[in-house]
Amino acid sequence: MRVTNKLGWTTAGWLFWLPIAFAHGPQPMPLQNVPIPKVLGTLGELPVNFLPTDGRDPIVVDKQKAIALGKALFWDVNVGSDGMACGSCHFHAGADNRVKNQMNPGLKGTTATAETFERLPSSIDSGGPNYTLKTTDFPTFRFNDPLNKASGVSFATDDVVSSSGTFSGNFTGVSKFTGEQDQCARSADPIFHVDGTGTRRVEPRNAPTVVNAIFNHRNFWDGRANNTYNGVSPWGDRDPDAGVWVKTGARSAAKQKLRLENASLASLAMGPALSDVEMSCVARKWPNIGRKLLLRQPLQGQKVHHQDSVLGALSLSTPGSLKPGLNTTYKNMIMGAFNPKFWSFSSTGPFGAPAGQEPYNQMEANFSMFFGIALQLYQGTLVSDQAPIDLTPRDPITHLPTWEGMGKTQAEIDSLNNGLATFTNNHCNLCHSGPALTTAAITLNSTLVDGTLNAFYGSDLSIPYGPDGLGPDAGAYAAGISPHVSVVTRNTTVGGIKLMDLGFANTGVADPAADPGLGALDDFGNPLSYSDQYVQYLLGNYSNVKDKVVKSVRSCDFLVEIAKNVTTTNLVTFTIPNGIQADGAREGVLKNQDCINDFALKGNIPTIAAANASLTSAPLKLGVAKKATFKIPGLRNIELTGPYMHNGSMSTLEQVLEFYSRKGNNDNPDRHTLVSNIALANAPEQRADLLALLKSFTDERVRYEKAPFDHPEIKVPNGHTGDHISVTAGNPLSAELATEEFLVIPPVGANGSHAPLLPFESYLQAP
Amino acid sequence: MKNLSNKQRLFSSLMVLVLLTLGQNAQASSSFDSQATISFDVSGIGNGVTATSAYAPADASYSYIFTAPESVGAILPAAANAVALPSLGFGVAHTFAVNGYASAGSFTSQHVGWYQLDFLNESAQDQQITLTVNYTLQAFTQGDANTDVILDFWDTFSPQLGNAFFNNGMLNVTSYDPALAIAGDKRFVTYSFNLAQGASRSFFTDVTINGNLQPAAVPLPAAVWSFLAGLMGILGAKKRKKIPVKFA
Repeated sequence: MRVTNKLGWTTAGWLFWLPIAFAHGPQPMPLQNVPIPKVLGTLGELPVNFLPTDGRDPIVVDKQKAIALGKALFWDVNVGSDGMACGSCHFHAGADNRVKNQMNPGLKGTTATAETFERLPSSIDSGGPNYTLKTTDFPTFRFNDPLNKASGVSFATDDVVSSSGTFSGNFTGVSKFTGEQDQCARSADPIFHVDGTGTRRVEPRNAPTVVNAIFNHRNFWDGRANNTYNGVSPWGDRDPDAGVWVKTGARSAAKQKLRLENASLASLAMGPALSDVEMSCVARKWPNIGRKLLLRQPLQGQKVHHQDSVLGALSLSTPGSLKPGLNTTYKNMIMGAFNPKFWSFSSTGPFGAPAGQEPYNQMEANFSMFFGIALQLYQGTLVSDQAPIDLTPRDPITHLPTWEGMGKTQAEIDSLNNGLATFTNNHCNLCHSGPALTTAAITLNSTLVDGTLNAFYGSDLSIPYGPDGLGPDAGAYAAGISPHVSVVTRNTTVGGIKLMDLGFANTGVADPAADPGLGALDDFGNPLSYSDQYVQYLLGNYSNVKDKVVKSVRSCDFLVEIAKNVTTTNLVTFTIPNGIQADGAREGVLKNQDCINDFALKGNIPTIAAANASLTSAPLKLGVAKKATFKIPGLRNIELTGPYMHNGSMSTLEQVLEFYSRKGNNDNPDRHTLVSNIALANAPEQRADLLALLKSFTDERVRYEKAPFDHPEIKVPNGHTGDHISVTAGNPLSAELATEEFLVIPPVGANGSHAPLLPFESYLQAP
Repeated sequence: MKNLSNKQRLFSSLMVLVLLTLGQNAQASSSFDSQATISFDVSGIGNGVTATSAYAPADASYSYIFTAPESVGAILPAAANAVALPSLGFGVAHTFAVNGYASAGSFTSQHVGWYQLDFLNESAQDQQITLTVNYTLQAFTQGDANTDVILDFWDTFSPQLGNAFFNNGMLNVTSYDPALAIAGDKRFVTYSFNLAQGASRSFFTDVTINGNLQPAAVPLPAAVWSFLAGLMGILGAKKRKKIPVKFA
């Protein structure tokens, strides 16, 4: 009997045909009326409600007030130690379009030049601190023939195009009422300087857009912003000391463990504000930021538009007279938004004290939690669901776009249709899947293929959840998306079949030694990779599984099975002679519902003994693809969010398509083989049509900064007076630091700006 | 050492004056004045039930004044609040108050007052008692100052019954117990309970006043700068005129 899986392919056929024949799979779907992943959790080991709609005694007592708090905090330059806000690197379609002082020497790497700036392609005299990027500097990794990898590398660097952040320094204190700058001992940085005069440090990775980031199961390029939020750090359950302070009586407060799932953006928010590259002086702690901000007016020195979609009612502005600040304090905003048990403890005492200063109070001690949750709720509003791909009518049966009635010519419609076919035929859709256009949107994608929910989405709520929810013929399954959140899959790489984290891929952008990505460890020495932890699960080393979600991984949803119920043996799959067991048998709860693959045949895992034996006898069976593996970015608004890739090495979408046409830059063992099957090098028309499709992912509200993408004024550091050869010392922060230039982004109200945001390329200096 | 000319002496004196002025920026003043006025009422007290109310300053560990080095100013809890009152009486208002002012540096304070109500039922039957806490919270600030006036209402059975938190004009009142009714104007709370025959029960109202003063250094007015710049310019111009003579 030939056993087939849900895709209708024999097992052998699956492996053989996967790269070539699957001209289907998930399709670009509308983002309208999709659910924001629901935040669930516990406080002190007991279930806790997150929002008022969830039930009594919720953490957030007023969601709209929390969103306003989040928006104020996101844009407030007082959050940083020296004028950096979250928005300072996420002000242009949620990303950063600055072109001056944006170079990092490759500090994430282990290469010989990791701490050394190199020249860029445009000239011998290029690159380094305070350099202004030119159009001719991109791509920074290039071939003699950009469409043909065999033509040879003509230029390569481990330097990264990213975002300039803080000068940093050693933190000593803050003012509670006034002054943008923290008190820090500042001096010139040994790496970021021009001729000995200090310049602002630059991140080691390109700033991705925050728009639609709410759908990512984990955030940051390497996924270190844990799906579970613990209230104080990015590490979720990995941080053993994490906890928030809860008022337990009039004269008592206790530290309790917080676990909020689907709260990766709250986890993310714990990082940059304390990073000595992004926003902070060294050794600054969250309560210090609380002490600095709580008694102040939000956006104290930044104009707020009277028609701001969230902050307008709190602004001091009137038509014709834009004023800085809001008519309240951060403390009052927190009092309005959060449950009093997190802030109303009237005494100090158990919360610690900075040296030589008064003890912290409860609101300062829990400031990280208010910040994280407010930032997540605000960014949860930054959903761009009015792009042409969302607004197009769709075929009532297949739900594929028709593009009709949108004022497009037949030639434009043909181009978009051909672009979509090209997108699918070249398997772009197997990573850029679902409405958010990334498999990293794990919870969203799984929800939309869960037919048991009996729900619908799309502009007219006509697309039913279910196996066809992301595309015809159970298209979701081809990308490893099942109705159950299963965060690990197994698929083919240049180095063979390996376990890989769903939503992450190595596409060969750079030398793996330049940045380990998901292959790195967390602050506690644990691997970031879910797949690494899943191997520990298979080996029976359960205490090494730090992220609980790994225990819910379902082998029957793997694209390529890890164990198979047959008597033959091979080097990459566990079979009966090795010792296998039904997945879930260890927990006594079989994971055999709604499988992508046939459960009886493929819903197995090795026994603990078999897994351990394989470490020496057949190590390929537990191989993991993690090195230089990065979160798959969504493609929405991609036209506006350059530079591209984790290292900012490409400035235009044409360069991105050339990169994929030549099947990547660097062939390394963990590189995904889907890249090998892209056939665009000799198809300029298909590339042009694919480009047209990519541009249909742009929401005009993002382009024109209309609500919810409107914002307060922000003054963004934009390099230093002078250039990369010479700067002027004498910054008011320290005589050793260079004087600065700024980009002043004016406040925008709900109706947006008259001037559209342009692609990154437009801001680069002409050669 | 060479003697200085009169002009050089004048110049030096002015420079010293300028440097001194730069080193001692003018300070804005900051102040706060906060108080909670409390009174208790009870109803449903039958024969054989005793009710007493009392005030006492909190243990010393609950209150503090933190003063940064070189601060100028003071934080002053009301002198009367240092005195314990074993019997307040019902319907009688008592005020707990703290004020402070500063012209330099930084002050942070916390002062706590404890109010206690004791009920004892020595009658022959259970008693339904309604207790009312009337409170008026006031807080005024000037300059870079902030103050909280916080009222926690609790008893030995329920460590949290109600909380009123007043800051920067915003009053946030929370009831943790269905028996606690918050009045529409949020200026008093009522709590009804059954006191069994022979039982006693105590209620506590903790009042906390926090103060923060951190007057900002005020830069010299522009007029002073232009005066000094002009003056030095004149002196400099006169000096330059002499140079050719000196080297002639």
